Amino acid sequence: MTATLEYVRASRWYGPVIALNDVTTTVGPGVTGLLGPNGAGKSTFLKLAAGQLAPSQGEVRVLGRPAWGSPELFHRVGVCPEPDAFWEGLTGFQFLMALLRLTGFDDAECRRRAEQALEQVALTEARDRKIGGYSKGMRQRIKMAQSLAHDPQVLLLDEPLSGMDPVNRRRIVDLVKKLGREGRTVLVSSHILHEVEAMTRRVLLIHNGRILAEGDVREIRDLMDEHPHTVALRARDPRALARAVVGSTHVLSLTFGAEGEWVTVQTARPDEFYSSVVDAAVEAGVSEMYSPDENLESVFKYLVAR
Amino acid sequence: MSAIPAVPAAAPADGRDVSRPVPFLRAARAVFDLSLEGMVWSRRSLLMILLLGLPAPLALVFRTFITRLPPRVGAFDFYGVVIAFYYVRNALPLAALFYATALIADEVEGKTITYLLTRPIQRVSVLAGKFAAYLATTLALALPAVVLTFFLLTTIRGWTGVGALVPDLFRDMGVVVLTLVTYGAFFTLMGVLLRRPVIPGLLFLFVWELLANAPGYLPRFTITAYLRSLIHHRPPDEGLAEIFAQVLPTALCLEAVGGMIVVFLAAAAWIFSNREYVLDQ
Amino acid sequence: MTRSRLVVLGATVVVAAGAMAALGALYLDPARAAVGPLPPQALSLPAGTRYVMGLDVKRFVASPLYAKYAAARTSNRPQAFEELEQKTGLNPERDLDQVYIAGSQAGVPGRTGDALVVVVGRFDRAKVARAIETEKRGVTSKNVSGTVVYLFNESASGKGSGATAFLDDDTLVMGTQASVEQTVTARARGEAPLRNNAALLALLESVRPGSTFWMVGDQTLLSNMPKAIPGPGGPGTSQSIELPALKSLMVTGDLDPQVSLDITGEAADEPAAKNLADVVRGFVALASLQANQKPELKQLASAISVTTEASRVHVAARVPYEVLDSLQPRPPRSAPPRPPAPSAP
Repeated sequence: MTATLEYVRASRWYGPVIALNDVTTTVGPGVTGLLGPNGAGKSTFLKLAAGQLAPSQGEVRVLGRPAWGSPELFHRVGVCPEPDAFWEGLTGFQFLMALLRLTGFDDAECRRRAEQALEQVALTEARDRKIGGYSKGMRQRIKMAQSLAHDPQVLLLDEPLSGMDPVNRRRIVDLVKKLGREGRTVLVSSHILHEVEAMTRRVLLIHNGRILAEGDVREIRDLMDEHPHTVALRARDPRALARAVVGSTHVLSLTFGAEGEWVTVQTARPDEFYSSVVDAAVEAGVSEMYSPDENLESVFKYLVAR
Repeated sequence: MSAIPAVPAAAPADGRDVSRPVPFLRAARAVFDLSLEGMVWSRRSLLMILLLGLPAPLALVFRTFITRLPPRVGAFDFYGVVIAFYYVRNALPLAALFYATALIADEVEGKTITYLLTRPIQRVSVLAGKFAAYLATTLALALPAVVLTFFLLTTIRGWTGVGALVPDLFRDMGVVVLTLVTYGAFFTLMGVLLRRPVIPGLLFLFVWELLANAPGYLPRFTITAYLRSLIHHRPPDEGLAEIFAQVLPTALCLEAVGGMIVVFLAAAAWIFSNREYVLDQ
Repeated sequence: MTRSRLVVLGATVVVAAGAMAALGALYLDPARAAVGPLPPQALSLPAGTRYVMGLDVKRFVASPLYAKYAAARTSNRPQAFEELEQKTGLNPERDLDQVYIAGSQAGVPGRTGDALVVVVGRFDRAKVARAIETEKRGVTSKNVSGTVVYLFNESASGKGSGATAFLDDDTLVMGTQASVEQTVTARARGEAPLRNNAALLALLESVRPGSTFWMVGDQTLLSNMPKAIPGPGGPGTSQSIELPALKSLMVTGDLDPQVSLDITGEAADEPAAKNLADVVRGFVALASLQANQKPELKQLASAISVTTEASRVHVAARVPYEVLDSLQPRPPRSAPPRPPAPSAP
């Protein structure tokens, strides 16, 4: 596999805090998930590849060049940063046009690429609305659009599915998989395993600044069987919800919350659970759903202890 | 995992040279276009319109009520006070402080700096584009007011003799431009160097710059001493300032101001090019 | 085009329009002179000119000072003005624009003065010429390069004591025969000898435009000024303060709305300039100290400022008319009427 991103004994510290500790790894074409809990060093890992930080020690190379101090790399590298930050007064189209101009395209090419990127993220109809009026999902999508509008060879995506509804989440996942199939190097960072799982089978597990493991996600999944996925749901009729899901084979356990509206489910196969719960959720009047993903923490604890 | 062939890194069909950053001027122009919109249409600009445009309505009031005013101040003397004291000493440096310190700081605070730093452009072109946008904005606010004030005050008794005062107008416009460029360069450096540059900037303007009224060589350590020496028709200072008021030679002033602009901007460019911006999340 | 660019463009248009208007005023202003405040015809003055003074008659007549003078006159107009207008058709208040006095030896003892007076305005040339020829005795005329020059009191040797001539319809020149003829000849040939006097031209170009009166010159102008002033020990003592020599002097002034005076002297070097500035400041301070006896002196002192710029000393004064009025000597108070003597019981 041709290495697009190379980390050679790369470390990065902020004063006494070591954010990345002696990491040596490579990332090649296709989609690679960067998985770790909050504070594990994912952002630092990504920012080193994005040339926003210089390694305190070691090397980080992208397409054979040092990532830090090589702005020309960004002709072929696209970055989707994590913060929800924009020039709010610009429309989606103006935002893409401005950034494409900064990539060196002439106006006609900027226009063509901006329209194409908007179409890829399904924001064509909202192109002339100010970003300040976009929903959370639309903001995430326009952020995604700016990272791929210039047709980069490498994409660095920091929590790209954050805040997205299921429909748009599926759209972005499909897009990322398509980019991977085209031979681009896509590094996706997330703290949610099933999100990463939906996009790729290759993952890098990072924890406390170190790469704990890298390889096929199925190996992680096998570990997950010992550490099921937790989902909390808030419903108008929690008992109806419980009756609908309790019989499923992938539901390992079910508890009711203290306030009476909450139902907490543990499942070994979250994707199947999410697919199966849709109808029941509508009937039971589910208004809120989240996953604390404690299982990933326990996976990491397991890996650290091993 | 099956091997996926990489996208060949061929030269793109659009003809860009992807082995180099986007040319400096092109990149700076793109940053200028992006920044100008946010700078002109901001709440800061509303305040600056009032600050920089104030002399024009004052001149209108002066013109309207001149016969009722005490005869101590002539129209052209009043214009001199507006240029030397109001603009060069106070309003323009304040405008530079509030705009130039925020050139990069606003992007960092708004977390949009990442978009600029992940483009194939040299960082110095970001600074150049933003500085150009700052100049365009402040000059668009200040110069029309200077011109209007000049004509409102010098045509009170008709147009006779106005022609003889025109060289002063052009000279003053030049000094206004130099003031905005010099202070802008200084505060751009402060904005890149310090996390919170506004308070130190105000201390510089209203404490350090008072050295311009000190005797000996001390005024040469200020910016305002050089700029106000370039004003041809400045009215005499009053009080303590009058005793020590120095007028520095024009050639020295131009050299000093030019040197300051180059040094401040170069330092700001170097610091910005080498600094990491770690955004709090 | 974005809105912000429209704003910047609009501002540019305003500034460009202002600049065009300014340039238009500069080139179309009838008061625009060839060199500083001098009109083109005055460049025919001799190259050896060492000092020039100017008075803008229109501004002077329009000033409050002249209005005071006009109000203080017992008759409506001086008789001399009446006679002048009758004979020559010239009303100085109406017809004169500028008066210039130039020379090379300002009252140097033992040398005859060579001052030239140039008057710019509107003249009835025929009437003026007739007045000169008929009213003055001993007036002769001669043709110098196609221009008639009137000579006054021509002696047997052919050298007159004074002369006058029209340089053109709007310009009358008066002075010694030699200097008038020299000026007329240069004008007729289209020459501008004064342009060869770089030092004087530099001084002229730095005269503040629109001044009511002005004066520039080199040491010649100051030849009658004292070289030293009495020191603390009084005049004639060895403690007199020597004044630094000035290389050049420029004075400009206005009379509306207050009396404004700007004096710039070029000293030999920076220390000399500082020295002179200190002397002047000392005098100003002395005036302030006399405020107990004469409060108006304190006002006058506060209206004067002294600055230095390299080897130049600049004195500026802005004196309101009220202060000048307060400095005028008051007429002696008439003795109060005596009370009537008490009648005898």
